[in-house]
Amino acid sequence: MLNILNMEFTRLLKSKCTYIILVLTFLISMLNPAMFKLLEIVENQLSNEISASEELTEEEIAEMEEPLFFGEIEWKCTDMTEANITGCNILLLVTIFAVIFINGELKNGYIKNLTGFAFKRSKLVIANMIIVAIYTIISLLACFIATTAITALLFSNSSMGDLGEFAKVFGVQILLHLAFAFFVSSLTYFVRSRVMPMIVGISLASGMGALIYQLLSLAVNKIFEPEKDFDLTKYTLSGNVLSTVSKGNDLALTMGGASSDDLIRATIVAIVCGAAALIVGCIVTEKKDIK
Amino acid sequence: MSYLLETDKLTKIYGKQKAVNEVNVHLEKGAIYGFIGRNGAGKTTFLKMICGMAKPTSGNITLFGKKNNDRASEMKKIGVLIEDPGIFPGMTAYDNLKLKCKAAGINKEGYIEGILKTIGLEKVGKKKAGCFSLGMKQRLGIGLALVGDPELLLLDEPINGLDPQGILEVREMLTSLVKERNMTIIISSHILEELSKVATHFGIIDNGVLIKELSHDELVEECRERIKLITDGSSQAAAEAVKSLGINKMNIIDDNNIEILEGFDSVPEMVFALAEKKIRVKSISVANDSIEEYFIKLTGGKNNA
Repeated sequence: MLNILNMEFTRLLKSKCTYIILVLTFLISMLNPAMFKLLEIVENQLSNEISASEELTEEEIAEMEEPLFFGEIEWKCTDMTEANITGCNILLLVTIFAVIFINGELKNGYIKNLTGFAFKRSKLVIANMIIVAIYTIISLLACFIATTAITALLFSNSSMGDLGEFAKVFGVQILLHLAFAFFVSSLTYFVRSRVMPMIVGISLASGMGALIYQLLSLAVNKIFEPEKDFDLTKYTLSGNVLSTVSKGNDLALTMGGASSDDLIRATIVAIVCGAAALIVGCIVTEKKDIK
Repeated sequence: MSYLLETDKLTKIYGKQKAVNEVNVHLEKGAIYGFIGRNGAGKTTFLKMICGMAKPTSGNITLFGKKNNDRASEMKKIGVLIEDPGIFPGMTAYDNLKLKCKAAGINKEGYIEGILKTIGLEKVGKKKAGCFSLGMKQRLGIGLALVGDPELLLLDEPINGLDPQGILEVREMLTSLVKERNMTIIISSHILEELSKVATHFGIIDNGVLIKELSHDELVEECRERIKLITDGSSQAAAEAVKSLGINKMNIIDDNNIEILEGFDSVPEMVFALAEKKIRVKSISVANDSIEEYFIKLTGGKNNA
């Protein structure tokens, strides 16, 4: 098992996509703070133009001086990182990596060379999942580092934010990302092609999932009329990735921060889905013949 | 006799099709076992079951004395090249071999270089495997199968797509592997003449059924020169007439056909003896089967042989 893991780790280091996707992770992580900076610049320019104008009444000026986007907020690196993560940017890249990495061995038939060393093919699945997990964690840490660096660089009024609160949310997000990566990996083992897992993974990670979950939730609420509104988003991986942010996050697009209950629920969803994906991946690979 | 590999009624069914049907193969240590069959005869499926790539529907596999799933511990002793070589096209030959060495837990210095030399790819340098010719890829596939110094090599159509020079090189390589490393090899092919030059034993498979298993000497015997005598329904009397000349090695195939295995210089005397006994002879000729003809005769058809 350790030898197989060693081999897969070498493959990770030898693979071009490892580095390309990591570079993309850094770049995409920098985009969000850069975009916020642009909005801040636009806001400041508008504010300056209003101040310079002599033809407007005091009432009009007061109305226009209302902050267009953010006003005077303190730019927290932790908030910015969460904005990046909940935007599913990293989830998208991790999905692409997982599908390419898992399918690599299957597509070119290298797996055939390993039959002697992995007669129990679940060993191979577990080794690959471990590599995908390592890469996912590295991606999220890369996102945190890149976002923190660029935020500190771009904004004069920046701070690190509440690291304690962030660590809880970041931990849960790591679990959710791992489980999602396991899910697409398992799907790749199941269909043995890049196309389907890529489409499903990218669709779910790019916001289409949220739309589907909302529609399904609406349907369930309409058909079964439960006492409390049912929300499927809460019980899905990408749904929880979208909605799990720290309390007091100024950039949160979701309805407030996650409570302890939300974090526990998201953790349970991640563990259950991740474990299920791993088990299904192992069973499918054991049962299916290698073509 | 204990065999290195033995299968007992090994069967694989895909849907309604029996790809391999109750195959019993016996492989001795140090043999080069030529697995002969048409395209789709079941050769690849059989090899896949041996190496664990496909699960048998029924039957038993005994490998190095270990039966079925117990053979897991012995699987490291086998090297596999099934269908196309499984290589990472974006990596060099060295890196492809290095990956498998990692999986095998091999860290010996110069080990990879040794394999590259064995397969004749020591001079490819940093050329990516994806840019290799078909022959080079095939050799790299064999090289990957050699990692871990296996005792048994399973090679599925390893000479497919190779030019005559490449075929010769692979043949020499296989022969030297058996001699120098004491390996046992199963090699499947439908290029029969080529296989007959390296194999010590043969298994002939058709429609998933192993029709015949025989040694090289037995095959030579089966294909050797013979006098084919076709009579008009009186083969028994014709046999007696020929025996009267002191020629006794013969096979009476049916009422019309006899194969005479000696007395090649006595054909005129045979004709005279048959005429004397008033036996009507349709034809008499000296012939020998090529391995292809023998195969076609066994499988009863000319398609794809």
